[in-house]
Parts: sequence; C-alpha cells; structure tokens
Amino acid sequence: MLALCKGWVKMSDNVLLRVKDLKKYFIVRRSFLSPPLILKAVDCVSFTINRGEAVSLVGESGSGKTTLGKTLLKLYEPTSGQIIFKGKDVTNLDSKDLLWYRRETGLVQQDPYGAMPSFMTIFRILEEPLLIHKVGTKEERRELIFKALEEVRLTPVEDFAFKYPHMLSGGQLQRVAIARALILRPSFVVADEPVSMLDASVRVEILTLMRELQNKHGISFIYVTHDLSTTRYFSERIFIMYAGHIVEQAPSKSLVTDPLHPYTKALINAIPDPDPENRRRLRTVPPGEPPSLIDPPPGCRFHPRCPYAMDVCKREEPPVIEVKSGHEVKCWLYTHS
Amino acid sequence: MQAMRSYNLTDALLSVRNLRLYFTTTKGIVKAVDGVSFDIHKGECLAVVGESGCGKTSLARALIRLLPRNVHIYQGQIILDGYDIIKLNEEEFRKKILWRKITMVFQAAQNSFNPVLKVGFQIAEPLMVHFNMSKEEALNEARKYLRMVGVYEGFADRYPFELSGGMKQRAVIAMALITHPQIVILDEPTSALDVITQANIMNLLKTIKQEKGINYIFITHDIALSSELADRVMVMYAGHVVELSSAEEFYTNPLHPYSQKLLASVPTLKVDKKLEFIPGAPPSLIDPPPGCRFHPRCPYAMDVCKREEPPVIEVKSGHEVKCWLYAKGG
Repeated sequence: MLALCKGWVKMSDNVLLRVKDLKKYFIVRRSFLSPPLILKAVDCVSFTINRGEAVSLVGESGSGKTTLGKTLLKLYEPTSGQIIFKGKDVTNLDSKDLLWYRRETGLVQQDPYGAMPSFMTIFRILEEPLLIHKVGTKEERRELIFKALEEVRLTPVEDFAFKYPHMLSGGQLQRVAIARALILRPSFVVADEPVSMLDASVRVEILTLMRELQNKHGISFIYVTHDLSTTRYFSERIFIMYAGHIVEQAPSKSLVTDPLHPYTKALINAIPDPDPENRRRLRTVPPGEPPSLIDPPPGCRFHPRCPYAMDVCKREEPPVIEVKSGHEVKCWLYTHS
Repeated sequence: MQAMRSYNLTDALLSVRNLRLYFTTTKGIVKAVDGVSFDIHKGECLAVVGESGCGKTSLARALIRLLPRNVHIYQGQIILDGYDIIKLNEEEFRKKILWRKITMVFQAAQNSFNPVLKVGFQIAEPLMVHFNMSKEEALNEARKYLRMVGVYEGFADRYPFELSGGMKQRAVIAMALITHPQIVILDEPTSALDVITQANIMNLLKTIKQEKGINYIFITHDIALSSELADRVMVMYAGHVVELSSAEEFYTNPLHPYSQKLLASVPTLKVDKKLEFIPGAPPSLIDPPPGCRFHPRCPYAMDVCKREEPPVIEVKSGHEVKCWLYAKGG
C-alpha cells in the first residue's frame, strides 16, 4: 500500500508546498441507527507546488477536489498524511501557528454572495483580515483597502468601499473576494470554482485578473474547477482528480495535447469547441457516473467506465507512473512502456 | 411592416413577429423582449445565445405564455401551426397548444421535481391531465420514455432524491417529450451538470432530434455548447436580436461586433488563441442606451450608432444582422 502512494513527491528548492499521502475521510451516517460509514473524499494524494506557480485541480462534482483544497488550507483536519509548507510541517498546528498559516494562505469561494457577510460594507469585509492579524493603524488599513480595491479594478474606490454586497454584481463581488484573499499578501491561495457562478463573458475577465495578480505578487495558486477548457490559459500545471485520487498530473500543454489517462481523454472529448460540425456527430463519452466514495470499486476506480479496462484494473490499484518528465499518470496501461 | 406579414406566406412551423414583453417593476418598465422576429422551420434547432440579462429566458417564457403577474406589455405575433398564441384565451391555449405543441425544459430543472411524488407519476401527469389517459396507461408510457432517455425504467417508482442530477435531467427531458410536442424549449438544460454528463445529455438530445424530428429552441450562454445542437443561431443583446444566421455562417464568420466578441471569449481546448473578454456589462433593460444598445461596449462605434437604432440588414441570404456597419453596402 505504501509503495503505491510513493512517487508523487519530487524535491526542489523552489517548492512551496509538498503534500504526501494526504487522506481526508468523513464519517457519515445514513440514518440515526445505522452504523457509521467512511466516505473517502481524498485518498492518498501526493504532489508538490512550486513558488509562484498556478495549478489547476480539475474533476467532476464529487471527485473530492473541493475537499482537497479545503484540507490544504487546514479548514478540514487531514485524516492522515503530511502537508509541508515552506519547509514546515503544517499537518498539525497549534492555534498560534495556525494563525500564521491563515495569514500565509487565502481562499476564494465559489459563491461570492454566500461568502460575504451581507450586513458589512465592502470596506469592513476587507478590513476584517487586517484587524484579525493586527495590521497597521486605522489610516494604514484604509490605504491598504483602497489599494486592494484599485488592484481588482473596482474604481472609483470610494464608491465601492461603502457599498453592501447585495449592491454589487456577481463579477464585482468576486473581485472583492479576490481582494480579500490577497490583502494579507499570502503566498498560497486556493480559488474554489471562482467563476462557475458567473456569466461566461465575465469568467475570462475575472480569471485574467487573477492570473495577473498571481504573477505580480508571485503567489502560488490552486485553481479548483470542473471546466478544463479555461485551465490551459490560467495555470502552468493541471491535476486531474477522479473519485478521491489524482489520476494524472502534467504541464498544462502536455495534458491537453497529449492526455494519457482514459478519464482525462474522456473529459477532453466531452468539451465542445464552437464548431458547426458538432451537431452532426455524437461524442464518445464513457457511460455511467462517478462511483460512490463510500464504497468505491476495487482496483482502479475508473475501471467500470473505462473502455480499456483489463483484468488487473479490477483487482489492484494502479501505481503512479512518470511517463514523461513531469507528466505522471495513475493507470495500468502505462506500466510496461 | 413586419407585423403585416401573414402566416400563410411562410412555411415556418413557428413564426414570431415583433414580439414585445415588458414588465413593470418598482424601478420602472423592464423591456426584456423588445421587438423580436424569427421563424423556425420543420426539423430545425434554433440556438438563442447571449449574456445573462439579455432577455433569453423572457423570450422563452413569452413563447410558452408562462408569464409573471407584473407583465406590462405582451404583444406581437407568435404563430404556431396556424394559431396566434397571444390572441388565444387561457382555456384554448391550454387545450390546444401547451403540452400538445410546445413544452419546455427549465433551467436547473432537476430541482423542479416535487420531492414527495414518484418520478414516474410526475412524468405521466401531463398525459392524465391533458389527454385523459388512465393512470396505468400513462405510467406505462412514462416507463417507455424513461427507457428512451436512457434511465432504467424501474426508476419510475423512485422518488426524485434517489436519482442523480444527470438522471433527473434525463427524466425532465422524458417529461417534455411524452406528449409528442413539435417544439421543445430547452433553457440551459445542462447548466448544473458535469461536462461528461453534459456530453451524454447532448448526445441524447441529438439522437431524439434525429429520430423524432423534434424542433428545439436551445437557450444557452455557452457559445461552444450551442454548436452541439444549433442549425441556426440567434444572438440576443438587451432585448433585441442582433444577429440571426445559419450555424455554418455564425461559427465561422460572425458579423455583429457582439457576436465576434462572444466567440473570441470562448476558451478552446484544442486551438491556441488569445482569450478576449467584453469589458463592461449588458445595459439596464429599464433605461437602455439610445441608438444601438451595444454601442457603449462596441469597439467600432460610430456617431450614428449613438443616435439611431440600427436597421436589420440581410447581408447574405439567411444571415441577418442589426448593425450600422453593414448599412452602407446594402
């Protein structure tokens, strides 16, 4: 079992975050009297993220991508495994160190309306993290907040600062969320589906802004999304998640042009490009739906939907294989090549 | 002028002429649909695209006469199979048009099931109510349609919470098809689903279209997705139709600056390109800008665009655009 989990970790000076064999299990009960069941939301995940690098974490709903993002930020306690951030083990932190970790990290959530307290003005919302971490005097904070708003292009700043969340559009509010996540100058930010609730034309605008700020401040980003088509524009590397596992990780271009895992191939096949020919052809997509995380299939979790499934896939969990430099896949198909 | 054209002149299944739908709100009159005209021919799918707040869903609701109470103006012509939908009274509309000729799959329809009724019963209900079918017969029919949309027919006896999102969406499609309508309005039918499920549903819709010759009106803000079904594409902006053309023309040679921008903002997986976005947001429908409603965001805006509403110009046969840029040549 241990041998299977090994292999994702690579050493480099430039590494900001190293995750090893991370697991997050939840205990669920179907009803009051039924025995507790274990839901394996994130199961034996290992990877590293470099300083200033943007990584996309792609998967369907229920693949564990949001849980992974929140566990990395220590919003969930990991069940087992190790998270090493800036050379420090942050898997278990006392409250003082946790405050330091909170300052070093940021989160942008999916639903900006739900993520903002409706009774606070934008100014107060942005001031909150500064107050908690005792940053600056009143004047300095004011300056920081106005600068943050300007950075996300909510200008004229004075107009926006004293509005309430319901007075802003979804796109504007998501800018506030980005400003809030970045105001303490963290070195690591998780953006959990930051644009999935927004209109298609606003999405590119918000993602471009995020990318720009990420490069400007040298922040490492994890962009959690189900939309593979935007990822190649906004991240250096892409991780594909399926049923709690990372099944493939590769540089963006390599993953899109030369996908290895059958699941990645299926995802890419399912995404339409605007082409009038589309209506005349059916897409080859795997049947069925992602498995339950309470009782996942044995062996490779994708095997019931995989067109290439072999006998071994049904019995044993596939190992992680580095097929090309930096391009790793968790699949039995590549064990002999 | 356009409103004078009578329905026997075209061989269209559905002709809409000068349709207007305004709402009264506390802030003023919202012109959600403002003079929309188009035809749908037999066996054709029309995709209606545009950003949110452009009047796409209001158009759908006007077509199926599902209107809220604050309607200010509802006028124009919607001619379906010889009936003028707007002129029919409530009773006639329900007896002759709704369910029999036109049905709708709503946005996030997976969540529109009644949680305390079995899925099969809900699919069968229109047959019992509108076609006086016995419960047994109707339930059998529901099972048949569930099978057709690729859901195990035993699920007819399950409750909605026991089905996954994708299965519920298929069940809703079964419900929309069970009364053999001629037109099915699909309002963002896959907006809450994962990409693979979305592709599966699109495959299903394509197969049904081929086998049954059903017409779709496919409403979406996802341009890439619209190409999955569209035979023709209609672009809406701030309550107006700004471009109407065949799919072949639209995806390769869009004419209206708004359409061009929309297409340029689509992230493509296979082709490398620079992504663009349209700065600003669609205008308020209460107080839209004068002249062309797109002019404040248009890179080619001229003086005339700010003053006068552009005419609809047929640049090529079957390719219409509402823009001053194309006015001179014609």
